[in-house]
Order: sequence, then structure tokens, then C-alpha cells
Amino acid sequence: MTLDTKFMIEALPEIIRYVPVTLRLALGAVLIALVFSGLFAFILLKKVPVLDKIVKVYLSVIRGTPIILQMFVIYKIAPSVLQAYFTKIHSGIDIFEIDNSWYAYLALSLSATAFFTEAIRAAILSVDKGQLEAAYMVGMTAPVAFWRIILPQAIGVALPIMCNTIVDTVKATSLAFAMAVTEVTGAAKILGGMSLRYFEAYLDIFFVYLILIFAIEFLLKRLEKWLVRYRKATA
Amino acid sequence: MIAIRNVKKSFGKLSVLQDVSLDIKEGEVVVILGPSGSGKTTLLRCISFLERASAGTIAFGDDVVDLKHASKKDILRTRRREGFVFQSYNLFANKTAFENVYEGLVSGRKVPKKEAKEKALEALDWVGLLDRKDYYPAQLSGGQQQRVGIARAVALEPEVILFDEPTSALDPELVGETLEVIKRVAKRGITMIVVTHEMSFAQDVADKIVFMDGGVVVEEGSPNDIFTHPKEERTKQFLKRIIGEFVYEI
Ligand SMILES: Nc1ncnc2c1ncn2[C@@H]1O[C@H](COP(=O)(O)OP(=O)(O)OP(=O)(O)O)[C@@H](O)[C@H]1O
Ligand SMILES: [Mg+2]
Repeated sequence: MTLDTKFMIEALPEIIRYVPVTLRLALGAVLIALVFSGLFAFILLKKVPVLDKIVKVYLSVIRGTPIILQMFVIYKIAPSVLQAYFTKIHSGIDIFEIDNSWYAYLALSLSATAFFTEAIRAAILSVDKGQLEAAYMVGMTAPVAFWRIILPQAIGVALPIMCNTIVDTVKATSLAFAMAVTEVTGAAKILGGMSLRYFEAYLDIFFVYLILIFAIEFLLKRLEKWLVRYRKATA
Repeated sequence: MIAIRNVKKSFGKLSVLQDVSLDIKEGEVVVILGPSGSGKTTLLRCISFLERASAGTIAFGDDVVDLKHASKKDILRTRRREGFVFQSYNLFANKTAFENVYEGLVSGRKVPKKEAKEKALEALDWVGLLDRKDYYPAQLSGGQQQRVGIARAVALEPEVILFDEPTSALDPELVGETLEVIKRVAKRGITMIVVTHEMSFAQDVADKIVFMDGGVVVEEGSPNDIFTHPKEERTKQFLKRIIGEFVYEI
């Protein structure tokens, strides 16, 4: 077998065209996950009755199953169930007209939310309680103390862990092809199929993912460094 | 005047404060002495709501607040009359020395930003740390951190500042400079309640000494009364032990 480098170079722009789709899926999922994980971490920390049990079950289910399986469930089973329900109530909504991207967002954020929740909860707990007491004693209310003192430090602690989840989410977008969303991996599969040069197409996206993830990690490291700049103990 | 009345506190079955009352006049420096576990910290924490008392009240003038049943509003109002200097400093780790003082004024007391900035710089200058204003707590020595802690409390101009063993976490060579700053707070006429194990400092700075043991006030009086003519046996023993230790250290 010889490597068709010419094909690789020609296919590359075709594949790179889909990088925004990959990024959009990942970014969308991460943003949705941020909102819900914040809420869920709050529920766990405040031990909100009933809701905290539900969140805990959700966390175990997500952490205990492969993401590809979660996607199949969401993509294959959920729509049929929902459609049956919509037909029953005569809502006139056709579930199969919903853009496939939404299933991808849902599946990806479901997983990211679970990991973010854990990271945020642990990070908030890691901030020394004495600082909260000091905040109260200068006259801050609990919400102000949380936003001004606790949260900024918790973000610095959570970020390295969340960075892993973000990278995992970018990688997991490659599974969105299973839900008929064409992103980078999907594009490679299609191009490979048309030319029967799968190997070259996959080698292309191999490098695309490497560079993408390297760039994301680099940016998040810089952000983290800036967030925890106060820790350096050099007088 | 500040009147602390009938404060009780138990942790589960352990009764830590069993009916403590205390009067503090305006501008007075009250030093609380007592053996470890006598409830000194717990008393300060109860009157600042860092701990919920089982019973008791605190009154600033005629504003009486129930320590057990206080609402969020009562708590906020009471805390805004108080300042607290912690044994372990408890500076905001993500804020510079300046921001530690400034943040309290702006986020805790709603002082306008420009005024807060001036006050914060003035307070830092006053504790001799203006040149360290942009340092984070991790970049400061323990003594410097505690001086920032004191500046943070003083800048708020509270009606009373509570000090809980402000020098006991410090390396011995840093105790002196910190005690000097606390003496200056006292000289400013600020009302203070100070828990300390530093006897000569207590004698120096106190208008009134309160000796606690086993969750009760055993004896109170002027420094002269307590140190030279203690009435109660428990006070005598405590002082003998502390001063004995002191002699031993030399
Ligand atoms: N959160 C808590 N839970 C249970 N017991 C506590 C708690 N805080 C304090 N205690 C107990 O209450 C008693 C009084 O403690 P406190 O810290 O008020 O003593 P102290 O006089 O400040 O002593 P020290 O001089 O060692 O600081 C001790 O027996 C302590 O173990
Ligand atoms: Mg104590």
C-alpha cells in the first residue's frame, strides 16, 4: 500500500471546512454543561432534598455508561418515545424534523455536565472555610461572598479537571457521526468512501484533532495560569 | 456600650459556654484570658454568628439581638458593627493586600469605590504595609498577613473589633511587630475584645481582664487586680502556670 499524499493534501481543506462544526458541537455542549453543572453542583452542596438524590442517580448513570451508548439511546429511542407522546397529545410536532445537531448537543452535554458537576463541587469545597468567615465578618452577604471570594478560587481549582472534560467533549464530537451529524470525522468518512482512500482521510483528521486539542489545551493552560496567579509564593 | 448577656453554647452534649455575660464600654479594651478549651473562641464566634449560640443576646446600645433566633438581617446588621481578626489571618487568597482591605469596604459595606480606595490605602499605610499593597497573601510573611488582617478590620471602622489569638500562629520573631500594631489600634480608642495568651501584652493593653475557665467567667477586673491580687483560686493557678512557663522559657 502506498500513501497517496496528493489526495491527503487535496482532502485537507475539505476536512478543515468541518472544523467549525466540530467546534460548534463541542462549544455548545460545554456551554450547556456549564449552566447545568453549576445548578447541579449547587443542588449537591446545598443538599436540596429529593433533587440531590436525582442528581446523584444521574451522575452514576452517566459515569457508568459509555458515551456512544448514551448517544444511541438519545438518538434512536428517545425520539420514538417522544413522538408517541406528541402524537397522543396531538401536538402536531414532528420529532423527526428536529435538526440532528440537537441530539448531539444533548448527548455531549449530558456527559460533560456530569463531569463538570463533580469538578465544580469538589473545587468549591476545596476553598478554605476561614475565607468565607472572613467575608461574612467584613459584612458580605452569602451570595456576595460566594461570587467575590469563593467562586474565583474554585474556578482555578476546577479548571484543570474541566480541561480534561472539554478535551473529551471535543473528541466525543467524532461520535456525532453516529447521529448523522457531519463534522470532521464524518467528513473524512465521506471523502474516504468516495475515493476509497480511507487511510489517507483518517490520517488527515488524526493531525487535525491533534492540533485542535493541542491548541485548546494550550489556551486553557494559559487561562488557568492567569486565574491562579495569586498562588505563586515568591515575595 | 456593648452588653453580652447569658450566652450559652453546647456542641451536642458538650456544654462549652454556660451563661457568659460581659459589658464593654465604648473605647474599652477587654482582654479574655483562660486555659485552652475554656470557650474563649466559641464566645467570640457566637457573638459574630460564626457559631449559633444556644441562648443569649448581644446589645449595641439599645439594639438587642437574640444570638439564637437572629434573622439574616439581624446577623448582617450585627456583623457590620463588628470586625474580626482571626488566628489564621483568613485573608482572601485571590486578592492582593490592597484588595483584601478594599473588598471589605466595597462588597461588605457598600462604600463608594473612590472613598474605599483612599481608606484602604490609608489603612495599609497605617499598618506599615503600603509598599506591599500589590502582594498576594502567599507572598507575605505571617506577621505581614496578620497586619493586613488588622488593616482590613480597622478600615471598616466597626464599633468593636474581635481578636482571636491574633499572634499565636506566628513565628516568635514576628509576634512583636504584630502586637505593636494591635497596641496602636487600642491607642486609637477603638473598642476591642482580645483573646490572647501573651500576658505582658495583656497587662499592657487591657482596660479590663476577663478570666474564663470551663465556659464561665471566673473573674474580671483591672489588669492590676487580676495580675497582682487575683481573688479566685482558679485564676491564681492559671497565672502561676503561665508565668511559670514564661520563667521556664527564659
Ligand atoms: N465546632 C465544634 N464542635 C465540637 N466541639 C467544639 C467545636 N468548637 C469548639 N469545640 C469545643 O469547645 C470547647 C471550647 O473550645 P474553644 O475553641 O472555644 O476554646 P478556647 O478557649 O478558644 O481554647 P484555645 O485557647 O485552645 O483556643 C473545646 O472543648 C472544644 O473542643
Ligand atoms: Mg481559641
